[in-house]
Amino acid sequence: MPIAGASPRRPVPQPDGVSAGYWDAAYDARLAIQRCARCRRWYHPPVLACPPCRSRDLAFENVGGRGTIHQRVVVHHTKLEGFEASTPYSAATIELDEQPGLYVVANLVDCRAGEAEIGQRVRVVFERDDHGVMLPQFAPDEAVS
Amino acid sequence: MRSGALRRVVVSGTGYSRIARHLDEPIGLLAVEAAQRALDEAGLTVDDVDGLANFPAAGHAGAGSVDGVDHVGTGYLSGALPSRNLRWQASVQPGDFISSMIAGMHAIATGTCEVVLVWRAMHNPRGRRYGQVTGGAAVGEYEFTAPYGVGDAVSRYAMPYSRYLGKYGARREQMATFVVNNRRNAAVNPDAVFYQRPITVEDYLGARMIVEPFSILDCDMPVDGAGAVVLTTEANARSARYPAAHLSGHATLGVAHGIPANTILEDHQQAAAQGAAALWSTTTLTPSDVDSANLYDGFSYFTYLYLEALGFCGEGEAADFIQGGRIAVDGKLPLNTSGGSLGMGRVHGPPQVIESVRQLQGRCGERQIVRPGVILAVTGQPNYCAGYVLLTREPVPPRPRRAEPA
Repeated sequence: MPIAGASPRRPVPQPDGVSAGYWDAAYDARLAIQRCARCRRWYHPPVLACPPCRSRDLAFENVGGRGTIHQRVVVHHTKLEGFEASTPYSAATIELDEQPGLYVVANLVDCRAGEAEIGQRVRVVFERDDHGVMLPQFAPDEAVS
Repeated sequence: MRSGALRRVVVSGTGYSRIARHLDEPIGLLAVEAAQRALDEAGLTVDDVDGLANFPAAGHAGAGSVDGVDHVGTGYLSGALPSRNLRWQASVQPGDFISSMIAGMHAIATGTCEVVLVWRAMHNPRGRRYGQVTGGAAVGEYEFTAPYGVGDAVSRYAMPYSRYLGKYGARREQMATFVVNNRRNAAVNPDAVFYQRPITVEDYLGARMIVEPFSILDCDMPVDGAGAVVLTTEANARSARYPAAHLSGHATLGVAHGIPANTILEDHQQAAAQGAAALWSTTTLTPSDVDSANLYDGFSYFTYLYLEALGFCGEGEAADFIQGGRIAVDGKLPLNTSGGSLGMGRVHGPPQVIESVRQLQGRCGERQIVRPGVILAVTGQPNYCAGYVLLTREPVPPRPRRAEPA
């Protein structure tokens, strides 16, 4: 279930040359993360070059889509245009299983705002918004059949 | 530049403009008002100023870009406060108020300047515009946050605070001690936006949530206002109305991690630890020498972060550390005696720095602490070039530099 009150005035991701692979994968309902072909480290948000090895040989690879809630907020008063009718809503920083410190931000869906807790297991789900953009979202792991 | 000793630098004048939720005057005029008061205290004239330094960024997302209206940079001030002897100016960004003070300190220490004026001015536009993230294309740091309704100033710091609470088992009731103490201090500070408006623990716990775990009382209030300081040498400070405060340790550092729109607790801790290590490496002073601290509290959580990083208590211990009267004006470590940003309003560094100087000068009335000798001020957020400075009543010898390579 998408967070309520979706509005066409919401900010829409604008892929650039570095991030296009992420949103292209999301459009196909896949979570893909940028990875250095040389040292195999993962990066999100994507980087211009791998800082430790300075390689520009970076590509998007599918990940398992599972992780843990690292940080979690409930927005009661929003400063984001188009979200005014959706409050309260949850957003979280998810640490993906692939690598410590590999984080993505998403809304928490299929649970009530404020219900999910830090440390809880979550799994990616995909939500098509009013602009036709597919957004990776996360739901409690047990809630996904 | 290795030849010749570095000169010691002091703060010889401080000034605030009026600070209020909204003022009719553009902040360019408020910056001049604050600067003139600081110069008057220093016993100096506009023509004595030969250097200007500031952190020019507008105070919130979505701000306009008119110098003198939305922010006040060296461009506006060099014209509005024209000194015939100006010969150096610097804008520090990323940075903060103390970062720009440190730029000015270097200009004086190396002999480039005699008198450097440093200021910070903040504008709170009327209506809903403050900090608003507009719809449309989410680009840059917002690409991965704004489509989810987060990434604005409140949510980006509520995120790491949520982890702090979860990781260490801290409770919002404990933070009440800090915020109530700030407002008690602001209530006896005539420059504060919350002058004569203390709050209770019940007020704090009942306050409206903005981005949980931050309520409205965890966030400093946007204001129109400015603060300024005059930096100079000990010799030039003889004309000052009050005893000068010595700059006896400093750091300006903000190691970036990830994206600014989504900060992570552990990244903040690491960056603050690097800033703190840089600070203590410049001085013979240690945390146990500090009589009082003014630690940035634009969001309440920052003060926990800095108490721990700077070595006043261990990781995850700040929520316990601040209890039992320790941080009150008559406690063992008086904290944010001006009321901090939460009590004075969102003018960034001046509530921390100017308060530290005035406490050393013994001018703080009902909130004056007993015989302070060493006060620490920290401003900014640790991933975005925070500033750290030790202000002392007497000069303190710097820590000996490492030997030059043979």
